Amino acid sequence: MKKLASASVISVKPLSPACILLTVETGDTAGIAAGQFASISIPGVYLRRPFSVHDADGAVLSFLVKLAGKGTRALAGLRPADKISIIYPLGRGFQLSAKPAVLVGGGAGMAPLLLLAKQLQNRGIRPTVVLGGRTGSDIVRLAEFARYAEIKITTEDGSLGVQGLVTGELKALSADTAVYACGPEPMLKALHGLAQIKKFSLQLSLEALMGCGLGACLCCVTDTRTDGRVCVCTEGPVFRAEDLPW
Amino acid sequence: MVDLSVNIAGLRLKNPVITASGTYGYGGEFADFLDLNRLGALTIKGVTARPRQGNPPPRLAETPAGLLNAVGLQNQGVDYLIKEYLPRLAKLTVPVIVNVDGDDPEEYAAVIKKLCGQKAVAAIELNISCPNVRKGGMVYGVDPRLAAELTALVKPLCDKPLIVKLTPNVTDIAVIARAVEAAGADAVSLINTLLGMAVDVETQRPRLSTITGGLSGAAVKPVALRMVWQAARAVKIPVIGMGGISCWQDAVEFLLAGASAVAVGTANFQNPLVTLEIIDGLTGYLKRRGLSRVTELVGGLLV
Repeated sequence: MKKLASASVISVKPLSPACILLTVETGDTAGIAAGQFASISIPGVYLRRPFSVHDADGAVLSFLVKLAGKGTRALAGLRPADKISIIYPLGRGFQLSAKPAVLVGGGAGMAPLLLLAKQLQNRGIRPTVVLGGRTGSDIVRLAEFARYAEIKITTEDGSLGVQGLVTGELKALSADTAVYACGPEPMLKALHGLAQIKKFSLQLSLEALMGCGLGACLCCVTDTRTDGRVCVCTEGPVFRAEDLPW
Repeated sequence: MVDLSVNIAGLRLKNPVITASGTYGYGGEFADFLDLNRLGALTIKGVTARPRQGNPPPRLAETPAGLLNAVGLQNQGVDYLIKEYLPRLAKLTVPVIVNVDGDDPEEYAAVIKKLCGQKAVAAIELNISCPNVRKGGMVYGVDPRLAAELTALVKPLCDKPLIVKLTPNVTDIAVIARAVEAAGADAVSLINTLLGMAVDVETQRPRLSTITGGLSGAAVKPVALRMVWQAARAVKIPVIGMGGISCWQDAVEFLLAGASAVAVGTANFQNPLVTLEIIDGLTGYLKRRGLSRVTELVGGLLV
C-alpha cells in the first residue's frame, strides 16, 4: 500500500561535490523492494521528484541524490528536523533471483543497489557490485556496499579502480548470472547488448520524468515489446531487459 | 452545518469538488490516500472507441508553475473500460463522469452509445478540447459550428447529463459556450489545457515528442478563471470550472466567477489530498462568512 507521509529529515550528508545522502524518518519501511522509489515534494519546484530508495531500515529511509538542478539543490539545503512530504513505496522493484548476482551501477544509478545488495545477502547471496563513474569522486558509499557485496570499480579517467566502462568488467559473465542494473541509458543499452550475447538475465531500472508517479497521468511511458507504452512509475521502474524494444 | 451540495444538470453532487479527467486515472490510483466517496464526483481518463497508444515519449515537460503534457489520449478503449474499470467504479457511491473522445463524430457516438446503458456512469463529458491529437479533440472545440454539430449529434444518444469540455485555445469562449448550449449541452466544463511548448537548450530540440503540448497547473489559473467568468455570463447551463485549482481559495474564486462546481487536476500530483483539503476549506469559508449553502457563492462576484 502506498503511503503519503510527512517525513522528518535526519541528515543531509555531502558525499562528493555532486552527490548527497538524504536520510529521513518516516513511518514503516517494511516490505519495500529494492528498486522501488519514493516521490518527494521539494519546495521551489512544481512537481514531486522520484528517487530510488537507497536504504530502508526500520523507520528510516535514505536516498542517494545526484545534484543535477534546482530541485536536488533544494534537497541539499534541507536541515535536520525539516519536514518533507513523501509518497512511498512506488513502482515495481527488482525481482530477486536465486542465481549468482552482479549489480551494475553507473553514477547516480548506484542508488537502488545498496538495498538490493542487502536484500540479496538476506537471501544468502553475496553479490558482486560493479560501480562505474566518470571519475573517482562519482563512486560513493564504498564502505556500505562492502558490508553486503564484493566491489569492482571502473572510472572513465582511471582515477579509481579499472579505467574504462562497467561493461568491460562483465565480459566474462556466464549465462547463469542474474544482472541487475541502474544507470544512464547508454550504459543500460550496452548491457542489454551484452546480455543478448552472454545470455545472462538482466533487469534494468529506468529513469523517467514523472507527472504523478502513481500511474494516473500516463506521462512517463516507455515502449515495451509486447504491452505497448506502459508507465515507468507503475510497470517499472525495473523492467526485464527482454521486455524493452532496444 | 453548511450545505456543500450542488446540482449539475440533474446530477446531484454532495460537494462541488470533482477530479479532472486525465489527472486521476480511474480513481484507484489515489485510493490508498483518501476515501474516493468523499469527492463530489470523479471524472476518469478519456476513452475512445478503440485502444490507443497515445504519443511517443517524451510526453512531459515541467514549467515554473505547471506542466506541459503530450499524452495524446492513451487508453484501452471503451470495451475494456466497461469490462475492467466500470464494475469497480460501480461499487463507489461517488458519481463517475466519463470523458469521451473520438477522431470523428462516428467514434464519439459509438463510445457514448456503449456507455449509455452503464449504471456506473453518472454523466458524459464530451471532450472537444484535447490539444494532443491530430484528429478530433480540439478540432471540434475551436469551431462553434463543428462543436454544435457534434453536441447535437450525440445529445439524443444518451439520457445522462452531457457536459461539453471546452478548450481555452479560442478567440472567444463565449461564442463556443453558447453554440454548444444551443445544441443541447447540459453543462460545460473548462478549461482543458492551453497550447504550449518548451525547448531543451542543450539539445536544441523540443522537450515534447509532439513539439507542442497542453499546459496545466497553477500557471493557467488566471486564464481559466477569466474564461469561466466569460462562459458563465454567456450561458444559462451550469459551468464546471477548472484550470490550476490548487487550494480552497482558488475554488472559491471559480465559484464566485460563476462556476457551479470545480475540478482539480494537476494539483493532485503535488498533493493527493488536495481535493479533501479544498472541500474542508470550502466548509470553513462558508461558516466564517455566515453562509449556509455553497450555491450562494456561485456567480457572486462583486463588480
